[in-house]
Amino acid sequence: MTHDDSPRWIHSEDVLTRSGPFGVVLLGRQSSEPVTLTRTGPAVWDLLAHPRSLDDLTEALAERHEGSRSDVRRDVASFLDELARTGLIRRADRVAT
Amino acid sequence: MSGTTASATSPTTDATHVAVPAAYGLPGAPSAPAEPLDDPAWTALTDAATRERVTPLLASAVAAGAFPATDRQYGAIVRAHERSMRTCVALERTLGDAATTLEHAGVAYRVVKGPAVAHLDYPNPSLRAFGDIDLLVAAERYDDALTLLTDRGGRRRYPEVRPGFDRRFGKGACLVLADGTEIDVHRTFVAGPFGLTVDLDALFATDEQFTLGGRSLPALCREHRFVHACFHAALGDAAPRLSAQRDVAQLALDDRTDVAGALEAARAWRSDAVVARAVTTTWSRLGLQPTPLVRWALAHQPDRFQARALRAYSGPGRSYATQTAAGLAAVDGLAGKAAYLRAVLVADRDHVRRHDGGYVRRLRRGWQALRATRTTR
Repeated sequence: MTHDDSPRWIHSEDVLTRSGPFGVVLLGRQSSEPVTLTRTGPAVWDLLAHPRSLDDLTEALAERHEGSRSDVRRDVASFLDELARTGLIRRADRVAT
Repeated sequence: MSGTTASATSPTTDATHVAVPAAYGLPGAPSAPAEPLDDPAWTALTDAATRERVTPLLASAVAAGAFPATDRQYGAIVRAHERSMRTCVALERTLGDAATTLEHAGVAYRVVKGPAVAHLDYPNPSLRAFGDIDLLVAAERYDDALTLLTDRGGRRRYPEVRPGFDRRFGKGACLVLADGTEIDVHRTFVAGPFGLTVDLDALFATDEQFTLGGRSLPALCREHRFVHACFHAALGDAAPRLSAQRDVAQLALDDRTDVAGALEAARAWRSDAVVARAVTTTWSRLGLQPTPLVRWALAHQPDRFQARALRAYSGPGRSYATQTAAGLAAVDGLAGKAAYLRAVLVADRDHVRRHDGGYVRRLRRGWQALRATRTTR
């Protein structure tokens, strides 16, 4: 993992989850409906069990998947934004409320 | 995956093969068909899996290559598994809200059945589907619990027999929330005699916690979970769901379960016959290899009380009325029996209207039910 100053993200504690052949089903406090992560989503979610920065995730995924590092980084950033917006992840340096 | 299919008439343990995935992952589980099922047989299997709440086990068996399927069948069962898991997390949110309500009011409770066994007894909670929420509430706060949950929008599915009956003698009540979600609020494990012999204080003397959405929730201890699973599988429905029977096997075959301790509790609650019935029917239906517990269950002879009580839960005479009538034998003391009879026979008008149509008809049905429980098979 790299050591950068960008924020690190981690699962929100109150998320209800299920994983299986379908991917990962998540239901956060701020969501009215569960969401299902598929394709690379479950791999990113698994990595976020521990604090990870955008660089950490990009590095880990770029090793596993085809495509340029910049494409991977853009996709992961968009994915993190969505997870954060729906309260499924939180900043690891902030105390959970 | 494979493109060839086998006929629905291939010999297996079950016409729809559904016992195979229901036992998936257990030692000594029956073998799956050699080839994917043809479409009618596959449809029958997935319908049965939905009914029996074992879709997650079927999907996991297919994903692991332990049950053959075509690519299309694989895609369909994975989507069905996803749907059932979306339902489960939504139900778990309801569970968390109900738990918060009870905890804020200081009402002791235990989470029972689906979510508790999914998180504590299965290798992955995604293997256990459920369709409602079940809470066991301490009898002395039972009325408070119902009031708290109805204040949050829950509506009783059936009226109480008579005010105070549930708290003293009843199994519990089903509350239906505005979105259709059901919360079963239990005082004891089942209606009727076996529900009246369970030591409710003992259930609240121990617990095992599980984590749900970052918080701890109390479940019954493992041995009590096993006995409860047996109650549910042996007495809960005329034809028990495979998910209930899988719970029995899951707990019985778990090295962490103190089976001797569980049997001791069951004997103390005059319900070792319930465990014996659950174990024998589970092993027979799932097609599992016998264990010492199964040999004990096959040789078990119920005493007179249990033999009579069991009749109220099985056979053509099975009904809430026969269970209630048979419950009289399990109520302690003459004063208790008198109170029980009074509550049952002089029931609340609304309850009588909905269940019997009138007091005369209720008395007649009560007498017939009492006679049915005394009839020797």
